Amino acid sequence: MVAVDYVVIGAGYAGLKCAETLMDKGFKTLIFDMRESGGEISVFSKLSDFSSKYEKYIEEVEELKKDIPVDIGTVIKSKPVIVNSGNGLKRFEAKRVLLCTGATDVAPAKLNVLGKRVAGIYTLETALRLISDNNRIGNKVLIAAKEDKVVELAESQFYRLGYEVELSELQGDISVIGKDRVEGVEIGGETYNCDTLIVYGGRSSFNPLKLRGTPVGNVVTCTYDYSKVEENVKNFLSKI
Amino acid sequence: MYDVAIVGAGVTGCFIAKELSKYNLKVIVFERKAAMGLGQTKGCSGIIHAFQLPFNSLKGKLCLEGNAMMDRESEELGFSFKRVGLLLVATNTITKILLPLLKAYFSRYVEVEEVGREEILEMEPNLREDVKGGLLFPSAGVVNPVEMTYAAYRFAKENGVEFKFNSKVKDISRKPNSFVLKTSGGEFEAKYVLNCAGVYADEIAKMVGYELKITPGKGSHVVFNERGFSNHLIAAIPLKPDRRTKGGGALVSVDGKAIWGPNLVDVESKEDTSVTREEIEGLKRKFGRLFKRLPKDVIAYYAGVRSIAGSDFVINQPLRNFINVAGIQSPGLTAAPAIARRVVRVLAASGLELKRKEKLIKYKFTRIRELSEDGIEKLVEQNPDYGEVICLCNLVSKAEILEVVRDFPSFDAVKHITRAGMGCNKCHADIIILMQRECNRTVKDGAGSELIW
Repeated sequence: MVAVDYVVIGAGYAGLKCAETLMDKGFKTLIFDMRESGGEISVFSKLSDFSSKYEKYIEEVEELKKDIPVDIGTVIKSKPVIVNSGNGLKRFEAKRVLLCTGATDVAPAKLNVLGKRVAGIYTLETALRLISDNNRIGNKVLIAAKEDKVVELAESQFYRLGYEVELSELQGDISVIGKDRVEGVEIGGETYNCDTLIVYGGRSSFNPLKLRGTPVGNVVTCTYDYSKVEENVKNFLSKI
Repeated sequence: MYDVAIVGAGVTGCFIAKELSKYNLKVIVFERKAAMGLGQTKGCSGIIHAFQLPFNSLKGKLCLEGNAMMDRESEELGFSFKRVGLLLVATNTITKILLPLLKAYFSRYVEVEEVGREEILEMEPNLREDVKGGLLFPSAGVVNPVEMTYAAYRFAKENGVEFKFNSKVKDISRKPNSFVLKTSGGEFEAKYVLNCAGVYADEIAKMVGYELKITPGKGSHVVFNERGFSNHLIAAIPLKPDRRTKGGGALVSVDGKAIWGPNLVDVESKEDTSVTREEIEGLKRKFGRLFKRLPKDVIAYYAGVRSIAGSDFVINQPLRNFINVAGIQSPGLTAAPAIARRVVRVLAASGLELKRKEKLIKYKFTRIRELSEDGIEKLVEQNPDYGEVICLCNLVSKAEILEVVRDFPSFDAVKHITRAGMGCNKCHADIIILMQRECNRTVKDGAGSELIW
């Protein structure tokens, strides 16, 4: 089994930043990602409104992607590190494991989305991923969200792509009406006419396999505000 | 000309198709949705019942028979089945006093043991301290109902049954020795027609002039992400049993998550699978009373619509060679293999010639989450897509998803068959993008539910 100093799980902003510093300091470091390097910053880079807002992070990630060799593979165990990839399973012994697995949006059921489970209900994260890949997810979008800067950004992004967009507060029960597809949504006694419902009620840590390691970045901060992610990463790296 | 046409690819239709695929017959199945098991089957609780009252009813008998068949079915078809056991709990002194009587009654039909308070609390530490005792029925179990249906579908398909999805049967006309089925995908002629259309069985029966009354009865569930909160199917012994429903329970899914439900709500529409706040609170109250705390982390609410035709299953032949397999509400999942066997007997008695095939093809499920590291390694060598994990929560690979997607461009089919996307929502976009690339069409479950426009 190959022994290394650090294994970094996740090659988004936090993972890449950590890997860069660790490699600079001469630690033997490996970094893995399930999909591709860049994480959700890469998703934002494909959306015009998001790409101007996240410009700084996109540029940084693009630079890091050039320098940091990321292995594509899913870490399914962290002690020892076992990685599943198209090339088979690999095992590593790491002195330390960094969890840079990021955050995921809270699921609709937890945000009291009730009524019928029809097509056209998405978390913000899923909706953004889909439109960043040039998929049209509907025409009339209702974004039911808690107050957050990302919501305004999403609103203008959908608007720019030719969607009709309405916003609603995330308050009480959200009742979905429709036969096969969202046809309307009721929130706090008000009925919205829409074919797509996007809900955002915050984020939580993404580490479903409960891998053990030191969490760094958005897995800790759980936000769309990358200044907070940046701060967390800086804090961590200053102690290395 | 087909020998047998089956209307409906729910668990009943698919198990009959599976059984018929063992014989030299031409069989075709029509399903209005994009995949099998997405109607009543998907909305059920996934319970393999130990028994169904009354024992002398058709459903009571087929339940016991189906339960006894389930280990072999699960092995032959490859779906997961766990006998977790049913724990009926006495929560007051009256039901506690009744325990020996109940045990004596049930033991005439089904394996049952009385368990004391301490033993129950050891088995289920989250139950309230003041439970008085209970009955354990070890033969009760759980499955993933859509996976079970998919397994039967795969077996049937591998062995020659034709399936037509997104095909709605619009009319059936009689010819002297056959039936002509007009569907949204053209006309088909068959000697025998089996009506397995679930909540729409009344409409299908009407096409041949038979009146069948199906009442939709909605059942809602709450799903929690916490695994191992309870280990058995748990319900309180009621003081006064409800004739229409067993009353649901604090259940577990085949992957160990807590599912509470179902209730029974009369609804107007056969498509009413909405879940209301009142129902959720009702379920939490009803089953919450049994425990010290609630399970953690609600992840989903869902409802199914039962097809109720009076108080029992309806398996009859209102006219020659047209067979209703209707009113299959609970315990229909449990009974499915037994229903299939019975229907084959009915067909044989009606003159269908049954000649066993010499060789049958078995379909093998591959689930990387169930494999050892070496097992995964070998698989990836053959197909690198097993090395690409899409759903981390339930460890589902791209290969497993593609296998379903190639048959069904349906998100619900992928989700329910593979369990991908059942934990959090993180991989939903990945699944949809993969499906869109593979099929250029992505629906949730059927026409009108397109995800990408």
